[in-house]
Amino acid sequence: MDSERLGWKLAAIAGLAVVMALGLPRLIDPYYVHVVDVTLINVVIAIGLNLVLGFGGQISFAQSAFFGIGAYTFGALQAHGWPAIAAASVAVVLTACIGALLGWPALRLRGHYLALATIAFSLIMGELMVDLDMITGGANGMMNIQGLGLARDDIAMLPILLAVAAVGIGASVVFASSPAGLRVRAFRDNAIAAQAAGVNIRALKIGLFVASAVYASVAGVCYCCLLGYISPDVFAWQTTFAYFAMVVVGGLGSNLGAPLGAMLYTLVPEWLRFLQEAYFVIFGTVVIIVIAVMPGGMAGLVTGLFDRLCRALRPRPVAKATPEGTP
Amino acid sequence: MSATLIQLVLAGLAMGAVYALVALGYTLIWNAVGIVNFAQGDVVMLGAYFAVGWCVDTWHLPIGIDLLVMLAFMAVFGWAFATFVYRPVRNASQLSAIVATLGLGMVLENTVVLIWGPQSLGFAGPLGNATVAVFGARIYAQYPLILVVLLLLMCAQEGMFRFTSIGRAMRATAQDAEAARLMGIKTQNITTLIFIYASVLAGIAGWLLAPVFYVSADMGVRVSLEAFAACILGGFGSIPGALIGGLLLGVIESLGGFYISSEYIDVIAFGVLFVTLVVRPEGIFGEPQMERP
Amino acid sequence: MTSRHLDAPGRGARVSRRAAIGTGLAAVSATLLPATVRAQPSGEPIPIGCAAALTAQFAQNGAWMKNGVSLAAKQINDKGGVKGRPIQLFFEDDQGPNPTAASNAAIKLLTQSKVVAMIGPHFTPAILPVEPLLAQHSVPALTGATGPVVTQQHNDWVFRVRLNDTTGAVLLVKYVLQNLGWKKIGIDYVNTAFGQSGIDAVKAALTAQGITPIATQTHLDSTKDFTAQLLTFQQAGVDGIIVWTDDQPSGLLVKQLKTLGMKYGIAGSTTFSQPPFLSLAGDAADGTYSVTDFVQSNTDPTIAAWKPVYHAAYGEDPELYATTYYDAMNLIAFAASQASSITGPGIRDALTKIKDRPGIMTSYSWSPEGNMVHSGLIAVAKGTVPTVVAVIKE
Repeated sequence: MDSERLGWKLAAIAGLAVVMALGLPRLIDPYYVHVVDVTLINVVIAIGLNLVLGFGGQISFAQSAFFGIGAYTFGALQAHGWPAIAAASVAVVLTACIGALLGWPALRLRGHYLALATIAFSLIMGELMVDLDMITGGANGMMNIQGLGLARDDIAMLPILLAVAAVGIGASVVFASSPAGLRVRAFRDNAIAAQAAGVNIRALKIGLFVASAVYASVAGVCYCCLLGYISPDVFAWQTTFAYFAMVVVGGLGSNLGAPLGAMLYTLVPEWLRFLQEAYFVIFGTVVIIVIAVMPGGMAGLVTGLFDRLCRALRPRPVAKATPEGTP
Repeated sequence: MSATLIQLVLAGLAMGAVYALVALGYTLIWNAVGIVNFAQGDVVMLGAYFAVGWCVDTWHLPIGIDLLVMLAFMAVFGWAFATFVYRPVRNASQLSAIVATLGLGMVLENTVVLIWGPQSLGFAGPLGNATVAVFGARIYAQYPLILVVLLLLMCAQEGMFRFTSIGRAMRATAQDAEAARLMGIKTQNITTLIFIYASVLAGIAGWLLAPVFYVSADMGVRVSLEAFAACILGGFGSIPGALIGGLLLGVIESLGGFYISSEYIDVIAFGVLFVTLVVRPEGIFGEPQMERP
Repeated sequence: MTSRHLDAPGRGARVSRRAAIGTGLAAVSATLLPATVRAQPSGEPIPIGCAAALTAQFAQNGAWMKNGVSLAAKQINDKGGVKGRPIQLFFEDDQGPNPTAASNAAIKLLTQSKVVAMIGPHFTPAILPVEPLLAQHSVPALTGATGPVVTQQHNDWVFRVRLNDTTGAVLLVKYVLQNLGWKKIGIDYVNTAFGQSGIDAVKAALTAQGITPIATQTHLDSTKDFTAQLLTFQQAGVDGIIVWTDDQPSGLLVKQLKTLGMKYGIAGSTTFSQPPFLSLAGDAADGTYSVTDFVQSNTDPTIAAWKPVYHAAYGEDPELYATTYYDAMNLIAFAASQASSITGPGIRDALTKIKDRPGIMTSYSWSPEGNMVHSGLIAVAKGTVPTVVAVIKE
């Protein structure tokens, strides 16, 4: 993908973020600003998961654990008086290291073996969050996390979260079109061929785990700053399914897909609140239908429509010098 | 042998037998179609709810009849599962298939609450609260019943796979669907049959579990996970592996909870699992790491 | 055509038989008939929010909570509302002990429905993140969360309408030591916010009496097999165990205790006297002690009068959650009627002036940290029927 197109994409992302930061607080009421804030945190987690799941093709259920490790490290350090930036840096670095440590045994595992290993990891982390109550506050969680001093101020947090999400998406877009990114996607589709071509699989695999851990831990720090309170319930291993659903329904491997999936997952229950007891049933059914009928997910649907629209507006066939790639 | 140790081992074996029953379902479906059915525990839950919630509590069917009616329902469910969930996703990636089964699990867990309400249901079962003394230790009579049923099922299944043509067709499809099709076996129908069979197994597991653990929407989630772990311990794809892995996991949890700590029981059990995956992912029966065909 | 009742709202407990039937009919008909038949208050509605677990694991408790609140509000409105203004209820799903969902629900109620008072969230991890929101929007909330930490946040807007676990633990420990004569004690708890803080309170109460538990065990809400825990207690030679846990594990624990032939006694948190435990444990429940606020079979005349009222509306006997939150709704209505202005701060101030206000469960008096309940019951199950053996005041 040429750098001019890449530039346009990044500009579009930045522009959208700015427009939302300026416009949303004026247009929608404070409750929906809060919902958007929570959505942005989910977007960051989903993008991170898409790196390891969609690009790397590895089934990792560890995302909720990384989310929690980032959040709890930040909260614990702040409880000892650390300032926000320092605490955040340590939280992200620590989680990245744990991601690397997990990525190393993950090298040997594929498919559902890796799935179970990462579930085991998430489950163990969840237990430790509850049991190590000297550090974590136990099942009651941590209250009054200082963060940026903006806890529960949804409107002030909006531009910050938009910036974080925009950078996260942008980084993923840049990576996808970089030589390393293309290598990774080659590896995903055919491990043997990639090996024959001499691609350094080991480094890539571990790198993806580390990257997903970084994204999740950043999201954890953001969560602390937004709500000012965390408890083990937020990071239970069962929540990973939600992130999976976001990525798969949004469109596996697509940079448009992960944010789209996160938005759908967070916003649709709001619209469906009137269904109350039945909306999990509907949601689960929708997930199955989307997987069955739209393997490209929502993003595939959107880009497919967009392509058809472009073709309808330009009826003459245009010779393409470079092959199309997914965004 | 101290009574304590006996009680712990027996309780562990009973829990393990439950894991083994569910693990069997995993193994069959995996061997046949290369999908890990993360909803298997929820299928168990569905069977339990149908048997207790409707057959017993609402229609007041006698014990035994309620089991048969429920199994008939589970057979229909298995067919629906194969037709409406498996068939559409069979060409999707393995990840998509996993997420689809997770979605199915979510649908099942919430549907049972919509139909039968959020309260747990109690069920006396065929043996009520009867207890037996084994080597001087008292345990629920239901526990040995579960073990006996498991063994009988394994024998019956082995017999079916060897001596009936349908069984042989099922086994052939499970080992190599392409070759089976080339030999004239209608693999599409056999696959549906495998789903039906796995669902019926899950229903039996639910019916056996209900008296001991109550029927609740969350009864399937943990069992799913532990049965999955049991498969890996025993060697994914191996039927004796599912059995041994399940029993072993149950005993590890039981002994670990007593001799080490009940607080860290999950950390212990899943720590063991994690180490197994790192050191010897093919588990006890040494099947090589199987990818989806 | 409209006849105004002069009764003050909140006296819903002591009702005559005719009024009870009428209320039951009103509860049903209010959903079916247009509002021209009964006396409907005509002023501007008072928005009251309720965050309850309408889905997920604890949906049963949320349903009971909703029942209690709705019934109270209907009764109040049928009597003319508060100062001529009807109560308007807004329900949002907090999914139980889920901080994110609870914050969402609270923010929705506070900013969109603009409620002047809130009921719930019920669970400790759900009310904790909401407390600062209450202060931010100046809206009081009544909760049944029992974790002591809830009233240790120096937050003036949270009011607890159940016996908190610190007091409950002290009462239970006193009872088992003095009345049951236990000396060697084991403790077991569910590893959640509720269980952890409850057992900490038990440990503190034991320490205050100079006793250290000789065995400590824990379990999860999803634990199905308690053999390890029960055998550990037996090996340690306990006289009895104190257990702080939820409905499902309580039933299994006691059943297995009897099956394994354990001889030590068992005393525990509220669940051990409530219908889910009793129906799951069956005959095994016999002899189990519990510290609680409410027991269905209580022969107290107030409760005896309350049961048919609830039964007429919902077809089953009331239990703890429904009763607690019925009382909570009535407390808010009473406070609103006494408040200088029906706003968040006005209702809050009126709540702090409540002293010895009788409800169904108990009488309520505000104390500075926010606790409104200061006495509890000790009950023992005789067969499957819990019987009150002591009423203890703080």
